Amino acid sequence: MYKKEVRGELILGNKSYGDITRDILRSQEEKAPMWWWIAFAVFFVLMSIGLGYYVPLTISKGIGMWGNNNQVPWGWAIINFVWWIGIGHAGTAFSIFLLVFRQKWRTSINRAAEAMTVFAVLAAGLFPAIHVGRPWDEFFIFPYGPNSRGLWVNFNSPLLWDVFAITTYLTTSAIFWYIGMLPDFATVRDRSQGLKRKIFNVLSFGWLGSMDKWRKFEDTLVILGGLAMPLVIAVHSIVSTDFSAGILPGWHETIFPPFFVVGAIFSGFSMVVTLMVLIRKAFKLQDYVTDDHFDAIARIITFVSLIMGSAYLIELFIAWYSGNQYEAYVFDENYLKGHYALPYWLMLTFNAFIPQLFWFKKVRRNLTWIFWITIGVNIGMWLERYNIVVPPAAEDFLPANWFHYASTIVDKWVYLGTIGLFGVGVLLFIRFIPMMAMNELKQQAKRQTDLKPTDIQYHAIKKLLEDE
Amino acid sequence: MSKLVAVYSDDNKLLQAADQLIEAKAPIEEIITPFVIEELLEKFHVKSNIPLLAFFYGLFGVTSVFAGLYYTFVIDFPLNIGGKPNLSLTFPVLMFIGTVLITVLATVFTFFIEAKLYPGKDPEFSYPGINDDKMVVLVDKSKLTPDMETKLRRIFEETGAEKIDEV
Repeated sequence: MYKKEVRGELILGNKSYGDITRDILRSQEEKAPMWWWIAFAVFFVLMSIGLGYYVPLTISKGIGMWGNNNQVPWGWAIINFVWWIGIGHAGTAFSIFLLVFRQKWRTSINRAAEAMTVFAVLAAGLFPAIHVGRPWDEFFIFPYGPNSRGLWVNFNSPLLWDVFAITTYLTTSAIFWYIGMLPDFATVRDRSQGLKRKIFNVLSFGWLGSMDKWRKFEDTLVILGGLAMPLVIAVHSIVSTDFSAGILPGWHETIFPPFFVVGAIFSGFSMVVTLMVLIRKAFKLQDYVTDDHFDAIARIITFVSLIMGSAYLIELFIAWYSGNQYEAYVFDENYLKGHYALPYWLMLTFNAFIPQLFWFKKVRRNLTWIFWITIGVNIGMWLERYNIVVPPAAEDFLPANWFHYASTIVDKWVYLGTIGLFGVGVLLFIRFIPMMAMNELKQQAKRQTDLKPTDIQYHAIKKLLEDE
Repeated sequence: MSKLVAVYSDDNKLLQAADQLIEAKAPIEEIITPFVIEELLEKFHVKSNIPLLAFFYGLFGVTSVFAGLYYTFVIDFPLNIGGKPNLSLTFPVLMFIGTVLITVLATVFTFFIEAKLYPGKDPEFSYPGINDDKMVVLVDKSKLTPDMETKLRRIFEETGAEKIDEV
């Protein structure tokens, strides 16, 4: 159960249930502010150029438009894919781990985190789809039945598991997000008129908060959460086996599955924080996303950062301890002081060193610090994927094969295009969908009032203390 | 069909009313709240069969995915991959993911069917503030004896209902 003494109050300002509805729906009932239009325009342009021009260019001319070469067959596409999937993990990790562990401070953040998951996984899904080169042949990935030669797809391959895992993850996250929104859609429906009412009438599925529906609603969400929790771990473990099943030094590591899962949660949590800082500032929601919320997330980020730091150290140690010269080359010559020293040391700085500032309470409660540190973590996590994907492949066993990698303008624009897609998605979300779970906030408000002493209790306690 | 409606805006008062209504064995049709009030569901012993059904969906999922993999990889087209056994240790990965997918979809459809929710459905009942900050007790008047009605009205008044209405 939620204990006020431990967490402090999660909703400040003695809000009534009606206040909560009004505060949360203000973003969609008032006119969109200027910054929203500017941000939307910027992201929309990025999306249009990236996805509207450079993706068709890749498909029509081929993967040769990217920087990939025979030695480094996976370039920015897979880096961005893993990065987006990692960010996409936050929503489910945030929402579901905290739901299952009964952490009530999730209530004001879970909706935005889940929305983020859906857009991030959509952005991620684009990369394998276009990396195939001929996307129309993806038809054959799905086991619709044996193909014309009587063959089935290879169910033993991690790449195929990826297809199933990510499709399932996207489906489950989207359903979990949507079901959770039904009661809030009903609230919007009841408050609106005309076309908006009609749209929300369709979206809310005729929701009415009767006892029977609430029971079923709660049970369904807990079951979806319980199923999605191991799925989060499975999805990124599977992504990691794409690498660790390969024999290249720097990829062939048993540490990869937990390392990837933790890394995903790390970048995802950071992205949630970055967004929540902006949302809180933009919509003045400091009563709902309190300093205590940021404090709690910052503690988790610090803890996860320590795990990441240990994982980097373990990789270095094993490279030395194994006595394998190829492994040692990757870590010692390539990462620590070779061609790739800059991204490696930047990664260590952003992921392992800088987040340690969160040990200081002042930093954990300062939004500017929190914002920039979490931005840094996301840059660091992108660099980590770069370090995993490029250096081991560029310099493998045979020096005669060595060939370096440089991304092209097409790589960069496709990436910017997905950032545009994510931005447009998030902006539409905060404008048209209740961005916090109102029904859960009201439940939280009730819990808080129930815990407050009544006037009689208050005076009795006060008297007791005075007597002592 | 006319209904007796008691509107509350304080959930603690509603819970007090619920106790008295249960004691009076009142024929309550429904209590509608803007958020889940666990104590209320406990008082009225509201249960759902969704967890049990989800378990069976899971069992169905795991067996059907295993059967599918076994058919394709062992019976229909056994490939020799470096002499490894066809009934492979990699099966559990897809069995797990397939089970999750099947269970999630089946559970959600069960939820929609049992709760009678579908896109475009109009809400069964509407009252100002009902999904916002008001809690409403609904009683079907046709099932009420005059005695019971007086008793209910008294309970609503005593427990501090904001409004007692008929629709």
